[in-house]
Amino acid sequence: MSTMAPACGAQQPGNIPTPFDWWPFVAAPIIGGALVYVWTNGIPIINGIVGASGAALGFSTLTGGAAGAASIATLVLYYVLKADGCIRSVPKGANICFSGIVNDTTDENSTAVDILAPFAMGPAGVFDVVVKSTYWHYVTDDSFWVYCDDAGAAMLPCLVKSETACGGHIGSLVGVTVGAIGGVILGYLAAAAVGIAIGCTATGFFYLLCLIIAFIIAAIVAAVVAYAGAVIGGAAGEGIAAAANANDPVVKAWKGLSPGDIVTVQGNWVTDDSLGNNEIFYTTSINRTGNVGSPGPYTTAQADDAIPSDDCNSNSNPPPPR
Amino acid sequence: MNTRICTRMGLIAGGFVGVLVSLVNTQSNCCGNPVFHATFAQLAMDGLVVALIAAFLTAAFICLVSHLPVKPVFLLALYIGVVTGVLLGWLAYHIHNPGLALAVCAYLGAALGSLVCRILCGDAGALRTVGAR
Repeated sequence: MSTMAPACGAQQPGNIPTPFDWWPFVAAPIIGGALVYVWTNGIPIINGIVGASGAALGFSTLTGGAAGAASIATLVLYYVLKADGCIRSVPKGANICFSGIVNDTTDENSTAVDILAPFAMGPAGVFDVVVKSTYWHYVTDDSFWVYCDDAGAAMLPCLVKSETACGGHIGSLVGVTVGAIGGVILGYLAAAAVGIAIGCTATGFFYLLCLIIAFIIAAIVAAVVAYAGAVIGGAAGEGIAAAANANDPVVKAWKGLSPGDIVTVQGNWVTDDSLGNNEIFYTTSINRTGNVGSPGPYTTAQADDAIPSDDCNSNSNPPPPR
Repeated sequence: MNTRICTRMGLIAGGFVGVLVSLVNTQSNCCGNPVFHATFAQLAMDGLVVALIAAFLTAAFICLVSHLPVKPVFLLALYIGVVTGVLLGWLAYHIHNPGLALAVCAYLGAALGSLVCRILCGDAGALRTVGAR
């Protein structure tokens, strides 16, 4: 248990331990391999369409469309397969309990993201708690960064899970799969039509530019259709999840919080892999017991005075192993 | 700003330049078409068009889902798009396999993006992009 007040900001030299950022390096060869296969063999169902249309650009345009659709599919997969507790579970930490004063709460909901990128929706919100001095070790142990309020009191950020976002992620995954297939076909047809309309002649000065425009159109049309599929699927998933989780007790308790509230919080204690601060990811229980009745920022002394005892049994509560 | 954003922007721009410009080659030298001798300038222009479209669309998405400032992100997209497009257009054209071109140009684009970020933002990753306020 710490006896000295934690220093705010950076805590220790060295790099924050973070999982290897393998996504781009795995996605590129997979997409490349798929494109090579399409280039070499075509797609059984699509072969008939290509042959029937008799367009001059053939499989080149189809591959351009596949690239556009694959890029959107990769983008959606990147977000929905993050370890955020929806499809992949959150990093496993220790289940801890602590108490303090709520310094601020932030609603992470963004209407623009909800509508335009439902697969990228994050947690419902976050609230920062000025912890009692007996819980300083939760803020400092193994951390690379310590958040403090304007009074210099150490805070622990607590994230609140959004089941609506999880519905959006799963819906987007389904939607982008359907959209990508339709997008490749529509992209091919659009590019073939444009290529014929603008008359790309093999001897013309702008021949290369003409071809590249046809391929860009194929890629963009396929990407737009795949993206539309992700958005529509995500919106449907959001709607279903919102209806099914309207009475989430943690979300309801978090929405009722305001600065100055005295709270006892439980949740999964981890170290953030980008900034290196300790945090609760996610909060599993919020018990509000009162309000200090003065505006922030709050000090640790105020937290100690306001919460002489709590239901965490703190004195016999050493830092649990990670 | 984390330099990962530049790496990913370069990877996406490079990947698109790779696959699309390589497709131009395969299309222009097939099907009984007369052999076409593309100049570096023509290929650089093609690469530039593709890379700028990809980089700006990526920047728009980054600004949508993050709280990063708009102007510096788009300036980075401009720099990365110009560098990857001009340098990788010629390379992509001469790799006759679109899948291979995608992989090679995506990796090189990521490296170029990282390089651009280090030059503009310094080793510490601080945002010192020209015009950023």
